[in-house]
Amino acid sequence: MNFRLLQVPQLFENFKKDFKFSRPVYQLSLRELRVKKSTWGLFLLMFFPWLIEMIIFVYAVLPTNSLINVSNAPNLTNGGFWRTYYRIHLDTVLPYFVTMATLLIGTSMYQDEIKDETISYIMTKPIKRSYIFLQKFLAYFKVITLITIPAVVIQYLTAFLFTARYDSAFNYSRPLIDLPTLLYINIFDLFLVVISVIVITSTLGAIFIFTGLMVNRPLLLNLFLGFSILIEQILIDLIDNRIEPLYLGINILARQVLGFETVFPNFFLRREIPYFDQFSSYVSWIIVLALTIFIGFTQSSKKEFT
Amino acid sequence: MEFKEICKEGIYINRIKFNNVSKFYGEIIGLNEVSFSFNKGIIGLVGTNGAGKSTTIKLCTSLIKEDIGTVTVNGEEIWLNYDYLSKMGYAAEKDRQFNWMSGREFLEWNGKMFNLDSQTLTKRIKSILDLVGLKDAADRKIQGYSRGMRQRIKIGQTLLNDPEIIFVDEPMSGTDPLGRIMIADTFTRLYKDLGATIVLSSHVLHELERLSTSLIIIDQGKLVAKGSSEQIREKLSGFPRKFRIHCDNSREVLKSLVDLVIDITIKSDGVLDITTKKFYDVENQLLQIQKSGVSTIFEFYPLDSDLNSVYSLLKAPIPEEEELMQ
Repeated sequence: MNFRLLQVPQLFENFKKDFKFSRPVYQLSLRELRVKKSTWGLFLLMFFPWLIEMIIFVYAVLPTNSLINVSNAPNLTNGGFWRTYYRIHLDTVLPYFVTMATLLIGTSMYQDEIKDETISYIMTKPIKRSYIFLQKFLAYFKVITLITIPAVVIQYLTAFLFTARYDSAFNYSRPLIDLPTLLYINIFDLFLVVISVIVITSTLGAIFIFTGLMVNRPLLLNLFLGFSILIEQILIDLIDNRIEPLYLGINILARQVLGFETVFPNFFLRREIPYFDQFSSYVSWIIVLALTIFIGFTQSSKKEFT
Repeated sequence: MEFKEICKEGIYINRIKFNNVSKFYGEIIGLNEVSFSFNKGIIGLVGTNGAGKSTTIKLCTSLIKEDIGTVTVNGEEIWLNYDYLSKMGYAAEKDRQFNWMSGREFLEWNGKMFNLDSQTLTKRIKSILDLVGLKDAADRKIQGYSRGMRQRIKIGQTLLNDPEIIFVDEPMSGTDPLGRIMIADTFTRLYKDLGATIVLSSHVLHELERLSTSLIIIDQGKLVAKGSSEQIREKLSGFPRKFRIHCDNSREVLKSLVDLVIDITIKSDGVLDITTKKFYDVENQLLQIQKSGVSTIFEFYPLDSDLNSVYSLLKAPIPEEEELMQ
């Protein structure tokens, strides 16, 4: 035991050395992602739901004010337009796009190079393959964060600004909530949303990168993995006899994607779910992330490139 | 030579040995109980498509691991041997590079992965570009390169780490006769000036038989023949072989070759099939034609049936490996 402990500084030194040595893989992967049109396409695509809802807001909602029901807005998370606009965005529509970006970029990290056989230029270099996995994950992490977070933030802020004009919470004549509290809640809420997106995209991405390396045709498998929570939910609903076409098509299909259900409801229904559950949800995702990186790190060197 | 000045003489890699090696891809056999070894030299690995050439090279470059037997370098396993990989260069069969890069960038990125400092890297890139004749095209995107240029930049990146051994899968594929000569010259210079061992594969025997010091011939995952190129050439001399020529002036080419061939047929406009015992004379004549501008020779290659006949011929007993490879 003592002997092993003595080895820790040496192991750390070796890790640092190998990590530094493998840095060009990170730089190369970043560069590859930057020149790919699909990366930029996904970046723009993330703003698509926001754009559509902006158009709806300007042309349909704003003139008629039909969805804004001030009198029935007892608080921020259950407001009229707040709910229809902001919740649909973050809780239903956006997860689809985040999932697709995660899936496509994660899967492509190894697959594109395997397909066009440029992978041999990396794999025949004296860089340990475990570290290649790690560097590819880090490159993915940077890119997926840059792709998803701006869209998430702009949607949140737009929802906040647009609804602020109409939501009862901004009517100071009502004693419901004061502005500093409102801002505090929203900044904290946005922070949690951003963190949750980072945690989820990292975890799923690590899984997709690993399957992209180890499986010959990973896209189908990754689609299944990515949407398995959705499938599970549909099965549960089938058993409970709760399936209705509209319910299935709009709410369940969208909202349950990728387990966003596990994290997102905590933001909107935090009064109903104990704070501990929110924390445990993060912890469970982070444990999966750590495990996946560990498995990828230790197992990636077993892959042969035929 | 500038390249030589900035590189060290190799001392690490003395011998690569395949000991009863088999490799399977599911139910398909890539290599079947193959044993051979090679030392310094230009080693030609010849076989038809699917014979096991690429499998052999991938085993030597740690891209795949043998299922049965051992593949070793100086007695050490090759699979994930990072020390060995730092002294090795590899160019894959397909000429797919990072197309969005320029030739120079391609070399830079490959050099970075050997952790070369920027000064050494810049010097090496300069000398490599000179060596492979891509100095003027270095800053153009690889996407716009011809197939021959792609081959040359691919070969160039194998030299970045001052390798002691270089593996190039199908280096001549898709190149015109002049391009072939240029590539062959590059390998000869590398071997003679730097003392690097060079392993080349081809499905066309004549591309390698004159260039290589030793030949290893594989067919259907089995070792067919191994020996010095002189011995293989001796066996083939006097054996009539069929070739096809693609050119833009069949009449002039036909005239120039008429004394060197046993049979000649014009298949279509610009396509000639010849049967000859004097392969080297024909090749030289075609080069002369090309240089003099009488006709452009687009392609010159043996017909498949010819290669199979060569294999049959080579399957006859040949001297022991140790005698030939030393």
